[in-house]
Amino acid sequence: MQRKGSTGYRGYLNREGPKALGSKEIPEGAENCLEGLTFVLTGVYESIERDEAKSLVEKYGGKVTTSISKKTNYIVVGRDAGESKLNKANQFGTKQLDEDGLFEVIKTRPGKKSKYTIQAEEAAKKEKWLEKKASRSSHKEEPQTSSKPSSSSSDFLSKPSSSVTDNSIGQSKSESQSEPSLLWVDKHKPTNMKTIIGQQGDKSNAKKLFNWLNSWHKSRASGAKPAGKFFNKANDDGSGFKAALLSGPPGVGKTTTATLVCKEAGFSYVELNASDTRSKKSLQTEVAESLDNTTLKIRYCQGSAQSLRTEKHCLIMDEVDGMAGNADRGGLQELVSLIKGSKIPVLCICNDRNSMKMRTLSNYCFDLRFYKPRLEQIKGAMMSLAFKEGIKITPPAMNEIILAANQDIRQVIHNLSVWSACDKGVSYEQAKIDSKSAKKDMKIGPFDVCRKVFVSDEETAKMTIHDKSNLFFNDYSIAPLFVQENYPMVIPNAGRGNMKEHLRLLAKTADSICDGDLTDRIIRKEGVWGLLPMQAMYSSVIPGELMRGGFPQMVAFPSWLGKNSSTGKTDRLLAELSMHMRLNISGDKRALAMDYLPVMRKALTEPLVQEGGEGVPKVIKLMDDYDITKDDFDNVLEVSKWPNSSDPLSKLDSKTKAAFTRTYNKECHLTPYATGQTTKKKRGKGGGASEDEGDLLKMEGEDDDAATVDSGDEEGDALENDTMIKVSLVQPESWNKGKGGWESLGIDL
Amino acid sequence: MSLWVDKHRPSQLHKLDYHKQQAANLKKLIASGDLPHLLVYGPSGAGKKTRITCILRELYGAGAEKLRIEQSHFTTPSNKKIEISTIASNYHIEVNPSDVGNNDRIVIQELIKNLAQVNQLDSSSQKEFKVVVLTEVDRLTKDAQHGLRRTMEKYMATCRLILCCNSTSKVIPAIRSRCLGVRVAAPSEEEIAQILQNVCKKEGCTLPAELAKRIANKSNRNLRRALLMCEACKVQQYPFSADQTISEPDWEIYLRDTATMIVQQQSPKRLLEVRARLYELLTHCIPADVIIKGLLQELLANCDGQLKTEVVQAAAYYDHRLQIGQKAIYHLEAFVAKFMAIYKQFLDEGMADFF
Repeated sequence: MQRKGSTGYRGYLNREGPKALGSKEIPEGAENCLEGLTFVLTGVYESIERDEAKSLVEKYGGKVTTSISKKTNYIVVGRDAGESKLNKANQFGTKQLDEDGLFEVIKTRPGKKSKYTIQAEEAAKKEKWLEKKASRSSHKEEPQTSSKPSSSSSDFLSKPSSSVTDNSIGQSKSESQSEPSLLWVDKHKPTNMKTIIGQQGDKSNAKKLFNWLNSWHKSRASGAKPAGKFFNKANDDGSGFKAALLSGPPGVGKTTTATLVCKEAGFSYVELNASDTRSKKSLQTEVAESLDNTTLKIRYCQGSAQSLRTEKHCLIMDEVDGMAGNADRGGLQELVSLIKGSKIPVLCICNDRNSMKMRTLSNYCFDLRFYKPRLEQIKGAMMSLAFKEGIKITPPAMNEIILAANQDIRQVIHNLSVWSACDKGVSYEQAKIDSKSAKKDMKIGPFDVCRKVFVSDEETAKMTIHDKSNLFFNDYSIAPLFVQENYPMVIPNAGRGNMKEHLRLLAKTADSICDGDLTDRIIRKEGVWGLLPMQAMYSSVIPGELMRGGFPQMVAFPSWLGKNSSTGKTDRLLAELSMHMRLNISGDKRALAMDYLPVMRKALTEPLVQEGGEGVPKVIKLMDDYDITKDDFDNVLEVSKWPNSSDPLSKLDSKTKAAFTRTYNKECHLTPYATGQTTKKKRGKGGGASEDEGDLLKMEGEDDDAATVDSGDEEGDALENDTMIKVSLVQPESWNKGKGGWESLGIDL
Repeated sequence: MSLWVDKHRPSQLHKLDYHKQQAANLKKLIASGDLPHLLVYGPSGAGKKTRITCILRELYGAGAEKLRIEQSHFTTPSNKKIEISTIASNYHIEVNPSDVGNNDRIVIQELIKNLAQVNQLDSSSQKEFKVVVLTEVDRLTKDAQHGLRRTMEKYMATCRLILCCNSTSKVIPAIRSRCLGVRVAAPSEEEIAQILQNVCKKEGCTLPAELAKRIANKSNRNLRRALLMCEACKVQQYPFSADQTISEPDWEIYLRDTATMIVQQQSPKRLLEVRARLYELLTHCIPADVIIKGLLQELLANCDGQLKTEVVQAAAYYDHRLQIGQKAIYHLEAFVAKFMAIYKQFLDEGMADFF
């Protein structure tokens, strides 16, 4: 059985393409004739490529899935069809078609209206009805929400440049329709919270923001504190925060949500965006006063308690991540301090919440993250928009457009309006071509890049060498590291099941990666950035080609970065150690690491382990001989520690350890270099100055004996460089006195 | 209670234990009152530094042994502050410019200029020149080496350079031609064994000739390592016995185990395990060329004649790339992968012959 499976797989690998490509005419069917049907395609067809067949089905509204389920209506079987698929189809009783059968189905099935079109029509009808009703009611009384006259909002605001919107019903429907010059994006802006795409749910950001805004004054009064940073994040209603931070990719409706929520919650708002100067100064002068002008307001209309309650303002800071550069210097810090003292809620909006610039701000804000809405969510709204504008477009065409724009609602609308400008009907083919040209350049992360470099699937099979090297250029500094980290985990198709071949490929890949490293060196050292495409070939394209195959594991983050920094750390420790020991040893720091330290490790700990407290003086003597401090002692142990070596200190009992530390600290250690432990010295000094001076004398006495310290230094200027820091401690005092004397003299003169 | 290796280091030329002819020549050279720039080169643990201190002592007398550590500060043109520690006596200054990485040129230019622009006032009582000892010259950037060559000529009157390095191949020819080369070859095993016994005698213990020979063999003709090993042996077991085990540094054991792992199994999974171990070695600052050499030695033990040449060739190839490349792990790993591929192929062919 297994043998059969493997031959089948081999057959799959080298099966031929369609034999008579284009020999049959592709049928024209009625619009949306396949809607609601699910197809599974398997095998090779005679006259049409699989991809073409797929797009054909999609064109007529059908759905193509890769695996069979009960819901599958048809399975289209070609030559060399997948065995398991056929078995399953039999099991579920799925209807089997061949290529001709598919064409037949397309030709014969009656067309129908797309469900989206129906929905859109219904929605439009409903709207019209509502509108009629509203216009009727507006005759009778003013709508409740428009109780606040626009004049009040303008005195709320002292700054002319910032835009003011009052919260009376915005642009009414008829108004927007009378202005055909309006962009579609503005024309079809959602007018209430319920119509914001992807924000209808109970747990949606809009709802959260609405609740937060409504309870803002209440929670200020109750003095709620921000909830813990890491706990309970999901259930946090943000009552502890004075500001909210809305973050998410462009075109998902952050600003729309913010303004609509304000409107519905009955807040009037000031909006500052990137077109306003938002430096520290301007924020201070213009915004700060509006932030606490409620107090003025209260005094102003002290009479009625009614109006007091309705006076609600908030500040919307749009595009806060744009607050950088010279014009907005200090703006973010000022914003944070404004938030701290604010008496009104502040809504901040940004794209990338994790950027460095947002670090401080995000600590003071209720975090609301917006994600791209799903395809279906956008599709419904877009279809109804298209209906309103009178564009004929099929749902699959809409799919293409939305996908091409990477679920950016704004861009979808713009694209729609452009493409339908000349022709009111957008066909599937046209949409596919157009959307390809309008494809948003998406930045993909290094993890995805790495996967794409190695994995073999439909998408990578079609990539040209240019596309492949472009993968590298997504981030040319980290891409090679990812490739290097992950190549041994890939199971190459070319060497599947054959370890010898697999290893040969691994070796070749490693070679190519090395070549990439050499190129990188030349690029960085000589600044020849023109070689980057070459590096792309060596470090990404060639490894990808050699190893192309399955990638069963997660893409690992390059360990080189971490290892490199720990190498740096060891190097630093060694440099310090070798500097300290330099007077006694002859080797450089490499010799220190390789020859001295293993022996030192033993020599420093063995006496303690074997003799306990008795060994302490021995160890300290050795340390003094080599001028190493207690810190160095620990460093020696750390640097010379290997996974296969035992930790000698773990064998020590705590008594010996304590005795060692105590004895070491008690004694005075002379080092020929300046130790940076000023705190220690201060503490010692606190004990008594006279004692210190006694020590000092003793030390100087010892100095002359010590061969290592230059005796001729007494008159030299190197005094303060020696360890005799105590000497220099005395000196500055006298110097200061002298200086003080001079200065006082100068003043007198 | 310094370690033996430091305690018994000779400090005068005539007390040196090997290369005696060379020592005598140096002595004669110094006796003539002047000396050219010196380029002292040789493998690690051969006694280059020892020889340099001896030369200094011969030049200036005991005063050259009174050393102090100083910190010097420099500012690069890009306003970056760099700090480097130097060892100096009244007569010489020793510095390792490669400590500051890419900014070594500044250190060389400034330090030597500062020193060399000052003439000795009292030329009757001491030499007219000071000595600058530069260590690890082979790790200097090309810029720094070029910066060095003009200074060498310009300040000849007041300053002599003693350059110290492991290999001259990374020193530019311009500098090599300006210096008198002094090659300090690694001592032979017999010499090492002899020195070990002398030192033990001074310490008042007896070292069996057999053990001395074994230590000398294990040390790879590195005298420093031999002395340290010998002392470690003494700590481990005294009185010595001829067949006692010689404790090796942990990293050598680790490196050997890594090589064994490579031979045991050849698979991508094993490659990843080996990579982790190579990283471990590199993070302990074991130089990459030492790693590749150690690996090669162990791997060769498992290879046949035909295979040997192939593996050695691969090792040489990747060793070269290590020198010109940037990220050591890439090249080490490529060597391991290459070996795995060659070895697997060899094993498979062997199996085919067998059947």
